[in-house]
Amino acid sequence: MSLKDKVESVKNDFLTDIDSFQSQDQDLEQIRQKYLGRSGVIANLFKSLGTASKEDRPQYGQLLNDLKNDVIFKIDSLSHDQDSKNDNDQIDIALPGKDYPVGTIHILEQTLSEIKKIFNNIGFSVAYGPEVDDDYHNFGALNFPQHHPARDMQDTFFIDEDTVLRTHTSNVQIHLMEENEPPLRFIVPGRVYRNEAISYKSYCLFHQVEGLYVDKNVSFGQLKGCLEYFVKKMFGENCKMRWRPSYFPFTEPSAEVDIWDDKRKQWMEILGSGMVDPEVFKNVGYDPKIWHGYAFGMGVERIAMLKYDIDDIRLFYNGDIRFLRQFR
Amino acid sequence: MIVSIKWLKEFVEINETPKELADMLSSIGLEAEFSDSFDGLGGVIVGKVKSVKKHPNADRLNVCRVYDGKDEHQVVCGAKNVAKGQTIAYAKVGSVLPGDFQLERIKLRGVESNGMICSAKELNIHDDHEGIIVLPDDCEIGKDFIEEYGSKFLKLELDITPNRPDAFSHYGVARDIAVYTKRKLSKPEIKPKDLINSSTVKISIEDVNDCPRYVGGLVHNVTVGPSPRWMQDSLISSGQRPINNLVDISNYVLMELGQPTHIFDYDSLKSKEIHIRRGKKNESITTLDQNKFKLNKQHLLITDGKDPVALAGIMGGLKSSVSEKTKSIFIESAFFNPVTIRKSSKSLSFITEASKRFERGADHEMALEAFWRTVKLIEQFTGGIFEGDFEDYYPEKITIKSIVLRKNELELVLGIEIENEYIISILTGLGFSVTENSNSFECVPPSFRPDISREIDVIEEVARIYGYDNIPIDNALYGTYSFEQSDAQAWLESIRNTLSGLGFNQIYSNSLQNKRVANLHNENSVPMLNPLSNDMAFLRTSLLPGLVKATEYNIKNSSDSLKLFELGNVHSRSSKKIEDINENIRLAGIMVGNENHKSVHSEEELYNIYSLKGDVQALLKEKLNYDISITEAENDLYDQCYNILSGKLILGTFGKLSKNIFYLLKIDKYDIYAFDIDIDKIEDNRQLVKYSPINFLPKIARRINLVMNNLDSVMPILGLINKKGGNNLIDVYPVEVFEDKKNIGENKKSVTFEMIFQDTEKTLEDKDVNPIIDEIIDIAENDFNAKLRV
Repeated sequence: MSLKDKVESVKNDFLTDIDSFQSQDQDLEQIRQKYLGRSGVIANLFKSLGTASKEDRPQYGQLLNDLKNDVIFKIDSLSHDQDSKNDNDQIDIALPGKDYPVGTIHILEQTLSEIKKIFNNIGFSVAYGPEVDDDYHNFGALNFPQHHPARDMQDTFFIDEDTVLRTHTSNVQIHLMEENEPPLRFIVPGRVYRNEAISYKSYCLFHQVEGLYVDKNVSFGQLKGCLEYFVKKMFGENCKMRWRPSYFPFTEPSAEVDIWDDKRKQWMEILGSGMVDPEVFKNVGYDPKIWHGYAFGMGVERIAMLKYDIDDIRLFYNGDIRFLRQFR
Repeated sequence: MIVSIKWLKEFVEINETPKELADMLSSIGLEAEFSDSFDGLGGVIVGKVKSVKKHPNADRLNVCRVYDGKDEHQVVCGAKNVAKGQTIAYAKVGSVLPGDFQLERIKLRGVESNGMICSAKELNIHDDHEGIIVLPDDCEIGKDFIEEYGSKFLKLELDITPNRPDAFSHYGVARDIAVYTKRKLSKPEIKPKDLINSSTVKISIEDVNDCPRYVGGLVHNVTVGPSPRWMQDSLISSGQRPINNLVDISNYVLMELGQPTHIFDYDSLKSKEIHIRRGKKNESITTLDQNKFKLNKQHLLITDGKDPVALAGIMGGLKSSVSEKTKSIFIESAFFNPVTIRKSSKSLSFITEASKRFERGADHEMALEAFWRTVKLIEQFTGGIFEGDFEDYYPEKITIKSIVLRKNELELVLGIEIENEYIISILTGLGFSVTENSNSFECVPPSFRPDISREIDVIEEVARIYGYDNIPIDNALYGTYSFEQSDAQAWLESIRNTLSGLGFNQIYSNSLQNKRVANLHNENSVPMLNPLSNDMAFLRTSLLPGLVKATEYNIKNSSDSLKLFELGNVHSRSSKKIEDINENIRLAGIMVGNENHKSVHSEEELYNIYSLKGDVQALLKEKLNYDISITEAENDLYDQCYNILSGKLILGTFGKLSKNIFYLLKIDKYDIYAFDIDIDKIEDNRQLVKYSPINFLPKIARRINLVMNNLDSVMPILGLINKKGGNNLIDVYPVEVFEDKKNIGENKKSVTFEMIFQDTEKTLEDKDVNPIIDEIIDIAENDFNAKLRV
C-alpha cells in the first residue's frame, strides 16, 4: 500500500470513528488518543515518512500535515460543540428575561415633535410665549374689538379685568412682531385655556401650534402650499382636504381646513388660518402696504385624536398608563 | 341658525341634495351641517281617519278606523285631538320610527291595534307631543309620508360666524347661494303703503347714537288667531314654535329677512308716545318670557313715554305684549347700535334671536323694508288695517364709504389673477355697487354688510365666492426669510428620552387646581376671576399633585407599580401685581410600588430612596453631566427630603412624599418617592461642552474598611477623603456596608471605601498613595470616631 493510500485509508477510518462517535456518543478523548496520541495512527504515519523516496517525501509530508490538521480541527470543533452543549443544558430560554421596563413619551409630545419637525423642514423657527397675558396681546392687538361678538368665540378665563389665561398661542404673534423686524417665520407651540365644561370632546385646556410668516410677497396660494405640505406629511399623501372660508378677527381672508375622515365618513376641521389682517400689522408697527403674511393655528389634541383614532380628549390628561403605554 | 331648505327655495333655485347644499354653503363660508331628522323612519304613510269610537275599556283611548288608500285598519289612539275626517301620518304594522322602534300588532286593553297615528315628536318634526299631527288635506292618502309632507321639514344647521349678520336669514343665505351658483335671486315683494300726513305716531330718541333709525306704525282691527298652516310649517322647520298669527308673522319676517321687529299691544301703552332712552336706577321690566330684570343706564329701553315697555333690541315687555284680546298694534322695526345692544345683553346675560342680530350689526335699510313686509302679512292674515299711521325716525342718514379695490393687491394677496368681469359679477351679486377704473374698482358695500369697510374685506368676499379650493397652491415656501432661531426647548427632548429610557411614563395633567392644592407651598398661586368650579380655580404651583393624582388613578384601576413624570409650566406670583406672575418650567417624577417583581431572577424589591436617587443621578449626572451634590432638607411635602444642588444652586428636591399631600388631595396615602426639578435653572446653567484629553495613565484602586457607629452617615468620611485625597484622587465611594454584632460589635457597622487614584503625568506607585491613605486613616480614627478594621 502506498503512503498515499495509507493516508486515504486513515482518513476513512477517522471519519467512520467520528460518525460512530456522533451516533453512539463515544468518548472523544479515545478518538483523539487513537489518532493524535504520541504513538497514535498519525504519529506512526509520520514515522514511515522515512521510507518514502526523496522526491516523494515533500508531497507525502504535505499530505500527512493536511491529514493531521483536518483531524485536529474536526476533533477540536466537536469537543467545543460538546462543551457548549453542556452549558446550554442549563439554559431554558423560555424563562422570562430580566425585567427592564421602558417608559413612554406622551402622545401629545410625540405629535408636537412631529409637527415641529415638519415645519422646521420648511424654514419655520420655534418660539414660545406666556400662558398668562394681558387682554391686549390675547385679544386687542389681534383685532378683537372690545364689544364685538367675536369675543364670544373663545370662552376666556380671566385673572383680572385686563389679564387672561391665553385662549390661543396667537398672543405670541404679537410678542414676536413687537420684538422682531420682519421678515419672520415662526411656529409657536404651547398650552392654551378655554372656559368650557369638560366632556369627551372639550377640556378646559389644550395645546396649540401657531404659525406666522411675514414677508413682502406672501399670498393665500403660499398659505395653501404650506399647509397642504403639512397635512400631507402629517396624515399621508392621500389625505383629502378642503378649504373653507371662515372668520378670525386677526386674519383676512380667513380659512378653515378640513380633512376627510374615512372612519367617521365626514369632514373634520383640523386647523384655522388666513392672511394676517392689516389691523394686526398696524398694531405692531409694521406697514401693511409693504408687509403681507399668513398665520395658522392648530390643536395638537385634535390632530392626535384624528391621527390615532382617540375618541375622548380626557384620556390625554388623566395619566392612565393603559393609555400612555399604547404609544411607545 | 336652522334654515329650512324649502324656505330657501322660495328665493333661489336649489337642485342639490341637502348634503350637497350643506357642502356648498360650507365652501363659501357658511358652515352647514345636514342631519336627516327622518333617518331611521320607514314605512309611515298618509292616512285618513274614517271613524273614531271610545275604547270600551279605557276612557282615554279611542278606537279609530284608518284608511291607507286601499284598506281600513283598526288603530287604538290615545291622542285627545284625533277626529273623524283628519288626514294623518299613519305608521302601519312593520314600519319603523326613529329610535329603531318597529311597530307590531298589539292589543291595548283587549282591543286590537294595527300600528299607530303619529305625533310630530314621534316623526322628529318638533317637540310637540300634545297630540297627533294633522296633515293638510291636500296630502294624497296612501303616499309615503316623507315624500308627501315630511320633506318640507328638511333643514340645515348653520354656524354663522360673528362677521356675517347678513347671513342670519333665509333670504341672506339664498343670496350667497345665488351668487355662487350664478342663479337668479328673487326678493319677496315689498311695497310701502300710502301714508297720511297727520300720523298719530310720535317717536323720540334720547341719543340717536343708540338708535340711529326707528320705524314704527299702527295697524288696527286685528284678529288674533292661529297663523296659516304654511307659515307655521315654515317656522317649525326653522326651529321656531308657532304661537299666534301676530307673533308668528314677526318671527316669520325675522327668519325671512333677518330683521327683528316687535309688535306691541297698542291699547296697553299708557301714553301713545314712543320714547327711546337708557334705563334708570330702580327701574325694572318683566319680559315676555316672564323674566324680571333690574335696569340701569347700560340698558336701552323702549318706553311708552313713561314706563319701559321693551328691552330695546332684546325682548319686549310682558305688559305690552299681544294677547288674544289685542285689537290694535304698534309695529316696531328699528336699527340699534350694535355695541349698545351687546353691552345691554351681556350685562343681563340675556341672549335672544333679536340681540344676536343687532349685536352683529343689523341692516339700517332693511328696518324700513321689514316694516312694510310685516304690515302686508298682518293685513293679509289678521284682518288688520293700516290707516297710514307711520313714522320713520331717521334723523341722520347713514352713508357708506366706498372702498378702492386695487387689482394688483388682490392678485398679490390671493396669488391668482381673476378676470375683471368675474370680480364685478361676484361683488354686484353680493350687493355691492361697483365702478371699474383702470387698475382698480370703486366698491360701495351694501347696507347689510357692516363688516366690510376695508380693501382686504372686499378681497375676502371675492376669494370666498371664487372658492378657496379653486385658488392654486403655490409651493414657493421661501421668501427673503432664512431660518434663524433654533428651538429654545429642543434640549428638553434629551430629558424626556432619558426618563422614558429609565422606565418613566410621561403624563400631561390639568393646570387648574383648587385653592388648597395650588397653595401647597405657600399662598402664592394665581386665582381666576371666573373659574369653571372651585376645584379648578387656581393655576398649579407644582407638578407633584397632578402626578400623585395620576398615581392614585392607576393604582385604583390597573397598576400598583409605576414611574411617571411630567414636564410643564407652573405659575406663582410674588405680589398681587400681574407683572409679578412667574411662569416656570419644571420637571417632576414619581415612583411607587415594586422596582423588581418576584421573578426567577430576583426577589420582590420595593422602590426606595436609593432607587429615586439613582434616577436623579442618571438624569442630572450621567445624562446632563451635572456635578450635583445632595443635602438633607426640610419640606412639608416630604417625610424625607433632600435638596439637589449644583454648587450652591438648588436645582430641586427629592424624597418620600409625606401624608400632607395626600391629605390635600383627599386620597389614601401611598409610599411614593418623588423628585421635582427647576428646569429654568438647568437651562440657565447649560454650557457648551469642550473636549478634554483622555488620561491614558493607569489607575490605582485602594480600599479601606472603617468601623463606625451604625447611625453615623458616611458623608463626613467621604468629605475627609475628598479633602485629603489630593489632586490625584479621581473617585471615592462606599462599596460595602454591613453590620455584624459578633465580629464588629454592638451598634457598629463596617464600611468599605474604595478610592481611585490617577495622575495626569506619571504612573502612580504605592509610595505615592500610601502616605495619603495613612493620613486619612489617622484622621478618621482620631477625629471621626472610626476604627480601621484590618
